[in-house]
Amino acid sequence: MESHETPESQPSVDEARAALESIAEIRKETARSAASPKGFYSVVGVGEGLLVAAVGSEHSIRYLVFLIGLAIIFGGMMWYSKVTGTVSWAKIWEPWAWRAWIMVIVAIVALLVAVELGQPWATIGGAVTALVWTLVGPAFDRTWVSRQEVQR
Amino acid sequence: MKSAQTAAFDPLIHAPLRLQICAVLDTVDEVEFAILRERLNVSESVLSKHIKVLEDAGYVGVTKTTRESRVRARASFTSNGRKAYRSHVQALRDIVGD
Repeated sequence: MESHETPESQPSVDEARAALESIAEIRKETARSAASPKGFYSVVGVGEGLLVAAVGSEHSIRYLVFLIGLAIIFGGMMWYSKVTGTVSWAKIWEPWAWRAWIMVIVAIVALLVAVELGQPWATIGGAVTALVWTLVGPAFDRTWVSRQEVQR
Repeated sequence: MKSAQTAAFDPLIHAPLRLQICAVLDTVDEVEFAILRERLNVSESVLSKHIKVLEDAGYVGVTKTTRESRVRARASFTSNGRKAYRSHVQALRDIVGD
């Protein structure tokens, strides 16, 4: 039976190798099960798009649209957490995360355009944001999973 | 490329189940106890015992939330815990010669 007690001394080479192999195995399982559910980035992208469209609108309904956008984003995060049983914050400060930067930059530029130019550019910017998140998000997620699988 | 990570063997982390708990916590930021139990194939009491050891060492934090009328516990690394785990992994690599 495997011991779960605290070992008293440093392991042998074979024991250390076995420990590293067990780490590699469980990381791989964990990372794969923490992948975003299908459609996650589309849902969050639509939420982002609604925020952009609302910010550039002068229609009285804009506050409602903004709140719906926030609710969709928050709901998407809850959905991820419920499906995977985990919480993972995107690590966007490393070179491999360039796709996340595309998503962030598109959303920021769309927001700025919406603020400056108003409608119909706000709606167009919102649609572009949703589209980019839908298309780029899953690829970013796959890269994140493959990075997390490996102990660094 | 050789890692710049410092190496420090930590007997507390090295116990097989705790090492696996740490590996999960280093992969994601927070994980529900239910997922840990399933992944490690252990009972709630065994898991709680080992989480408590890590928590008492200041390596792991536990938060509890209520969802759908059920209390769900989540574990996450503290910054000291993550640092100790990574140093431990580096010590294992040094032993193996990686």
